[in-house]
Amino acid sequence: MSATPPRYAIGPLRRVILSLAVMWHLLASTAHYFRSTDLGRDLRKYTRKYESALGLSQNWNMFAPNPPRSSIWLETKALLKSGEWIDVPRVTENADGPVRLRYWRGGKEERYLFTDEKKGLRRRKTARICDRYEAEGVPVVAVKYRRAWLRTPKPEDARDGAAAKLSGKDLEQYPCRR
Amino acid sequence: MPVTPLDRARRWLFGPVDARVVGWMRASLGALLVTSHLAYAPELDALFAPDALLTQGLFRSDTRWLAWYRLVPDAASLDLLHGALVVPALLVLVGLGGRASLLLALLAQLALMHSNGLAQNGGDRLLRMWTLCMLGSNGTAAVALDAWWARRRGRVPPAVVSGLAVRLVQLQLAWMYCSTGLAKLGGSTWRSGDALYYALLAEHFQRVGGLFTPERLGAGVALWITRLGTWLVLAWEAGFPLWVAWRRTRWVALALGVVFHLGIFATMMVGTFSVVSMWGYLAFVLPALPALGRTGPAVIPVRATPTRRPPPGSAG
Repeated sequence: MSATPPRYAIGPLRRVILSLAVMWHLLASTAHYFRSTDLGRDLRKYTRKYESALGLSQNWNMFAPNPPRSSIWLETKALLKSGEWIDVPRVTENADGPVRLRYWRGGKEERYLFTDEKKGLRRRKTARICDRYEAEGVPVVAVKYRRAWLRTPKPEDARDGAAAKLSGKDLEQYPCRR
Repeated sequence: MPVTPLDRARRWLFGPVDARVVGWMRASLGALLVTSHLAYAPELDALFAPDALLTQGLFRSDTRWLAWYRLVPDAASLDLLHGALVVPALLVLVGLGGRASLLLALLAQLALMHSNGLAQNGGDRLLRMWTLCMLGSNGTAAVALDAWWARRRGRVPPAVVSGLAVRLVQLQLAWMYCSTGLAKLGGSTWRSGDALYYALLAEHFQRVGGLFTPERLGAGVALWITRLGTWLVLAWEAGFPLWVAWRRTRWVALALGVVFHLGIFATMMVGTFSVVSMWGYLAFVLPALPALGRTGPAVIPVRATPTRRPPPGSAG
């Protein structure tokens, strides 16, 4: 009896089918990677549905081409009936003290809201805040938003004692609709 | 008969591996799937309730049918659906149902993604990739209830299976690191060596608030450590396919990867990305283990006609 290991563990038909599937997947990945080129755009006419249905768009550039040089977040304040403004805590402020142990997905969702064009989502967030405070017996009249950012100084400036610089820009204010 | 490059490629992709290699990969992937799925539980209401930020109207029309979490009317039904959708991941963990359970686990992940894509991160995306890759091999021929059941019924499960899943995971990992490394080559902070300084100071990524400050990282030894770290990460990522293809550098490259991912995990909040990335290393490590890898040529492609040289000094 020969001790030579088998060349393949599956038959030719399965190999062909799996090869085609792999090639299709590689084509879709390549089309996504080169999506800003003419060829990529043409290919994606065929591969986009597959890509979006399976969520396989490959984008691994979290710190590329550069990591963020600012920390940006959305500050939210709610106006009570009494006329007092209160801070609405950020999702990640629920957490854990100085060491953050839990990853809050809501924090990622929230970070998505600070750009100018996300007005629709901020309106949705307003409705949610109004309802949630109402349910807790704290009637809220309006909600306002501010984009805040902390700019990291360059290393050479940090060496000379420069601290991170806090800035902000007021966004909209929405009334609670009942 | 001469071996063509196409033959070599085919054998590299489909050559047999010990069924236990794929079995352990499947089981550990199942554990990751279960953990990742359950980690959603405290935020189900905030992310998927009818008054959540994303509404049905904001979804792409061609994938709306996959947004299962948006079809339920209240919080109790949401819990029920989420509980039901952990079952495929459990089946993957225990190795029951063959590829069908992997396929269902993939569908469960897609339901989460299409119900609220904003809450997804790189770890989720990679987990979907791994699930898809694992469909390439029979993962329940060993370390699985399927195999146990087959034995009870008097059938012998295969000792070797197609290594396609192992190869796809290796390729995916190489592609992921290399593409991000090449993208970073175009970044001024990576070239200047300051990228790690900025990444560690991004407040929303910090695991320990206030641990890193510009004053602490911007001068002296700390600055040079971040600079060396930046260049090392860049060279390691961009060259990853080469480092793992060459046997002499493979284990150093993988060890460095473990160090980087543990470092990211300890200092940054990037979801499950570190753990899910390191799962991919099993595709290199398990086939090389003497107890698992030596029955099938998992790392070295099968040769058409294996030749043995006589040991030096032996009589002809």
